[in-house]
Amino acid sequence: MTTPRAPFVGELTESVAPQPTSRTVRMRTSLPVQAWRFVRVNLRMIKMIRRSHVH
Amino acid sequence: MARVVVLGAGISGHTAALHLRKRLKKPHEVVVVSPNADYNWIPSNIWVGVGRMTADQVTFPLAPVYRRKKIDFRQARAVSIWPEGSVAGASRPFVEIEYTAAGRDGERERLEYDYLINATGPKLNFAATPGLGPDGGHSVSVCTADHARHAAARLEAVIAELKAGRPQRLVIGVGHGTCTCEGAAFEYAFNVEHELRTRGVRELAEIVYLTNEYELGDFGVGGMTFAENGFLTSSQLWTESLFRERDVKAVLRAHVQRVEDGKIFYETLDGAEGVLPFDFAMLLPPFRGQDLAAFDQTGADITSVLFAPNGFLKVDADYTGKPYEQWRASDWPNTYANPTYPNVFGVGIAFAPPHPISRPRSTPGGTVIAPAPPRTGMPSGIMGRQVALSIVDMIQNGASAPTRTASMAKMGAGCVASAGTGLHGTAASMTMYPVVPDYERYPQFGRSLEDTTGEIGLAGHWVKRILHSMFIYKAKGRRGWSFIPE
Repeated sequence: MTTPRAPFVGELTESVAPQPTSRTVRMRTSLPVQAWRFVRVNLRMIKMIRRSHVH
Repeated sequence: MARVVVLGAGISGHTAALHLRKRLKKPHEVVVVSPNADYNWIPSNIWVGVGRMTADQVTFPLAPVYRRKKIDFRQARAVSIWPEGSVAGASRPFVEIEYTAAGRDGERERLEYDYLINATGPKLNFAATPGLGPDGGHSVSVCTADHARHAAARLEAVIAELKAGRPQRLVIGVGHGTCTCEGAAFEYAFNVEHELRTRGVRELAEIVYLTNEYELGDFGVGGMTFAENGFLTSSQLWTESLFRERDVKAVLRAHVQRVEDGKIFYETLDGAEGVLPFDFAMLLPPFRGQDLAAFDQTGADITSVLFAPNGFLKVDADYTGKPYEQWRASDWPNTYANPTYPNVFGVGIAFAPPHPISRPRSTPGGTVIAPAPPRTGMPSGIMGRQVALSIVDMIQNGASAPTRTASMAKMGAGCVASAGTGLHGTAASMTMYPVVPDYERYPQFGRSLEDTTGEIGLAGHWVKRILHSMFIYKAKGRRGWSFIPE
């Protein structure tokens, strides 16, 4: 019996994942936006770390 | 006087040793046994693997740190545990060690203990897949600093081929159906893609992410749900979006059967088989526990009493073989004490998880293709600290049982896949709370929507770079180290 060949998922053509707009991509490297996001990410991390250390 | 022996000097063991020494008064002893002379901040190996950091930037010698901290360091590997001592001359429990340091190489010694912390991490089980790994195999790895340095050299050769106009296929992922650390493979893929683009050779490179995950974004934690812009979205869509944007292809639900020169042979969950030719392959190995045996006082083998069949130490988890639908957050350990020998603890990757977090699946032929649960980074550090504090309470404060807990169902984790150097770069940052879903506390998704997030942007890269410096500083035990959380 011949084993069927595995499908090569490849280009993810069936994915319905949204693609970022050019503005979103720009915002990901915009220094003022990312400086603000940096503060947000850190605050989120600090909150999570505090919750994880309380036992 | 009590002696605490810590086996292993990775994130968990090293953290435990530092906290023990800080809190245990003299003359109590803290002894660390590690076969490696250097500490390795493993999360940054990814950057070594693309040539953006040197191995020296992610490692440092342990001996000077332990000398300064007055911790007894033995460069040796643990061979066997005798938790009852031995009728042949040892009334106290002991661990048999074999030195790996130059000058004492191969020399064996019995090291008695009152408390033992097994933080030996994983055995990188390249042997589970024929042809896998950098030592005699055909793929590279980023599991150690040396592996990562080797991977960077191979990647450089691929870049040279691309510059010469020759198309190359780079396969990045996991080398077995039961691997863990898909987050690390994802991060490396993300870094390689960024590196090729930065070097102007992305066009001719095909990047394929090969994984045992059922869906992209599973990461061995069963995937995540994020609340974004007023909508609920999944880590699957989030990851697929990133892969589509960066033109990274994917082979999902795969178990690598063997690796030959330039070819990966794999099987997928539906039982089909495939061959994937490659020019460069970074495939992580599956993990198992270190080869540690255990004996009772008569010398009878009790390895199966202390260790699960996968070689990880049994702790206070619920190991009854329940079906997926009956898994509970409460199955996960709290104190990390072995139920038979309560003065023996297992932390970090060395403890035996009760079951995976992702839904287990297997092929029609019975091949298991299911990510093992990740237990690295912050969770490992917290386990090390909490077990250390419990032991201090038992030695100095009269506690009769562990006083601290560190359930992975009550702690979060952050995963920052960051690429670039200095201020410039990019990152995909995720946080989740808790690591193990708890459907009693969070009935809808098992995790807090407020604390489970995914974000792409430069800010995550800055965070990761700062964390690198902060954790190396902490691991060196510099002034104020204990104020830096795990």
